[in-house]
Amino acid sequence: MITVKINGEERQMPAKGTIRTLAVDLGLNPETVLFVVNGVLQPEDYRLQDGDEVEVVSVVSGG
Amino acid sequence: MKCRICGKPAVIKLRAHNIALCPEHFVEFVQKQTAKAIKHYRMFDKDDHIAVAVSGGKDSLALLDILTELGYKVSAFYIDLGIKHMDYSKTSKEKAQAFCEKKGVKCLVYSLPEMFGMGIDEAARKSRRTPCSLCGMTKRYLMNVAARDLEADVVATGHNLDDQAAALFANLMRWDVSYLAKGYPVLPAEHGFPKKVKPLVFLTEREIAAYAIVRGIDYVRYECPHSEGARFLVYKEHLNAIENMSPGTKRRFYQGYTENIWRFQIEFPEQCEKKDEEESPMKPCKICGMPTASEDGICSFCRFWRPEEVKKIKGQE
Repeated sequence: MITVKINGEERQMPAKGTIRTLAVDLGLNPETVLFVVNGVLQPEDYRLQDGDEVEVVSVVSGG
Repeated sequence: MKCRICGKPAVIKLRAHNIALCPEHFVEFVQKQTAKAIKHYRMFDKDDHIAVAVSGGKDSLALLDILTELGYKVSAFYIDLGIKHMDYSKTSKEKAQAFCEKKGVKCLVYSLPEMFGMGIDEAARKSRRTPCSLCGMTKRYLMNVAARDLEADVVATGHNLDDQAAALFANLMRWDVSYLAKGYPVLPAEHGFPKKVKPLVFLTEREIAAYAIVRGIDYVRYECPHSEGARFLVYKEHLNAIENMSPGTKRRFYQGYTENIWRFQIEFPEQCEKKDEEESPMKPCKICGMPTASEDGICSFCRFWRPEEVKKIKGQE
């Protein structure tokens, strides 16, 4: 298991977990979010590392 | 995941286009898509002066960035609605002004609290109207004022593919044919009102947010407090669920509509035909001079925001 911070909160994840698996775990539609890891935008196949700080950015606005 | 163009590490996968791109080529992709929409819908050309409506959000600031990078002559304006919840308007204004300054773009500010002593929330409470309907009327009016003050040929807003597709979805759900006749991303200049365009219609919200992040644009990350739970968001949610199953659906939905809009316009020709100025029911508002079709010659903005002046005019008549 690895520990990552998601929007400031620690979360345990299986080692070799990706952003795609994280999105599924969080119940998020990948069309509505972006993932910024340690300050850098990352694609869905990015493999999360122990200690990564992840910002989940919602992209949907009210119009 | 590697960039389809150069093989460097990708930062985003665009499933609708079946490509992954690195920061450099993603920025190029977004700017090209915008240029393509401008050309496809004949929005404006390099000689035009464009007034960009900036809100401090991702879409409008990205639009300002893209248009300046593409070499267009651009000015900006910000409408301060005076929304106090979570310092929403204050923060939005700071972000909008800071970005305009960074880009070297002139930015006019129209502040409701400064002009009328109250913001949209207080005005809505006092009038028992919903903040969103009041906001829509107020913004439409001030956009026309900004275009006049900036001597701009065109007003550009940051509406994106998701906004347009959601509006289309909503209008179809109601079979509101009069609205379906006017959902084109270009509204021609008419009766003293400026041309209005939406250059981001080929780009999804996700692509625009990613562009803002990659370009280091500091935008307001939270939403207008009034949009929470709005029906519009429900339409977006459903469209994104379909998009997730079938990438490219939103684009096909909206672009197909713009190709078929004439079918609705046949039913409502008055929504799209350019009328002669002589036939126009428009006349200058007796208070502010902006065009209005109202019978008493007072525009809806003045009727709401300038009641004392309305009383004075009515008293003189």
